[in-house]
Amino acid sequence: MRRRTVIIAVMLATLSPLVSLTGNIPAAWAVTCDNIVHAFQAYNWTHTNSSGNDDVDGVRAPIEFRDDGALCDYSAHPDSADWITIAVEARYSSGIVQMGFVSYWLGGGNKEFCSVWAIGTGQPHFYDCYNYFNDTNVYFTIHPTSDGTHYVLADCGTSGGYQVADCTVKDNSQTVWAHPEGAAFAEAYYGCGLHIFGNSSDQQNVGTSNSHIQGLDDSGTWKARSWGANNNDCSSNYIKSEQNGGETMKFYDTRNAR
Amino acid sequence: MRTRLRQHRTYVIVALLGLAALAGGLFAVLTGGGHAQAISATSVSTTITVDPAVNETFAPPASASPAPAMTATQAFLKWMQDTGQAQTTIPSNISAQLGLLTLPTGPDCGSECQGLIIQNGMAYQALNQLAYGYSWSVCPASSTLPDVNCLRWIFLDANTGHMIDGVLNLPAARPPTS
Repeated sequence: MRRRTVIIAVMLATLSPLVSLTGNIPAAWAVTCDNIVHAFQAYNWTHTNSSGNDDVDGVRAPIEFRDDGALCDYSAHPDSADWITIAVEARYSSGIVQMGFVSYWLGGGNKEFCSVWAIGTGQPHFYDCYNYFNDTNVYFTIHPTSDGTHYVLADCGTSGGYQVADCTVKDNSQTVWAHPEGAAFAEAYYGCGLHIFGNSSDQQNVGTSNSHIQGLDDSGTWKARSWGANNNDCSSNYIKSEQNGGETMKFYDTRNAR
Repeated sequence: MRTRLRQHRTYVIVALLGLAALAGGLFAVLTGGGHAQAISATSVSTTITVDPAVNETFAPPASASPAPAMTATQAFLKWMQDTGQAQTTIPSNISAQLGLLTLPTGPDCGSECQGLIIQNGMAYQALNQLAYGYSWSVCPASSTLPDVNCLRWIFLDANTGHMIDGVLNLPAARPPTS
């Protein structure tokens, strides 16, 4: 009896550090990518006011955190990345403000999943890496400052709404576009070999049945809008759809197993 | 009765051994011991503009001998552990610098800017915050881009190890408009 107990004790002592080090380990999926291109699956929303001017002022939505997808092989393309975001774009120039989630390679080849924002033609800034469980909805909002001069990009967490007290501003330095339009899209950097988030049975959601993706125009009202499918890169593997006239959107990659 | 006491004592020993092993594993991760590869940080010598689009800068520390609460190794390993990373070594292609990070968000936006640092009408996520900046190049060997355009950054608070910001440095692109 005593000998058996000693054996169990030794086994526990040996295995416990391994358990502590391997909890919550994501797999590092990698695929072969040859073509160096940006690929998009996008929806856009345009609107004009009574004067005929573009008046898309903001976009907001809960975006589902998914930790699937696959990046290009690290040794060949350490800069590959993909993301899912909502955005307000400048229609006739290259400006964009966007928020959502990104995956990228950390040095050495570890895959990370983080929240992300970007403005202008500047760099994507990431934060809150692996901050959520898979399938968690996180609320993001992009809207004008109270004086209407700049965009506020705010992360409103998981509380389920956009109350100021629940939100953290990540940036409010970008002046508003003269001709804005809304967007929601999955993007892959290094082309079609890379897998976007979501699979057919657990798709990447933007908006939920209880909290739609919404647009804001000069009327000051947030509501679901009519979105147009803009382009269809990598269409044999990247799939998108919208539900109930644009209340929600779904994206997935046919190659993802989970 | 005597047998039960012996069993109880055995269970206590097993539990203590398990706990000690768990603590050992955690200590190894937090201290950069065990299998962890140490990384030493150099102080930033001249101000680096990390992202000119948002005026994010990484400046030399205020003192010649800054003494943050954590080493560069400890902060990075804690961050990796917090983000669920399996490995306990710091990738060899990552270098670290110690400096003062400033990341403005924009003009003071009143109640919306709650939780941010407000100074002289501007709001900041970080304002001269002592931080470790970890960087690594992601350009393929064949790349002709300037080195500065190949760097990715992660900034961690040098006293707590909490993440402040990361910068991907990707080529600008966006989906076509309608």
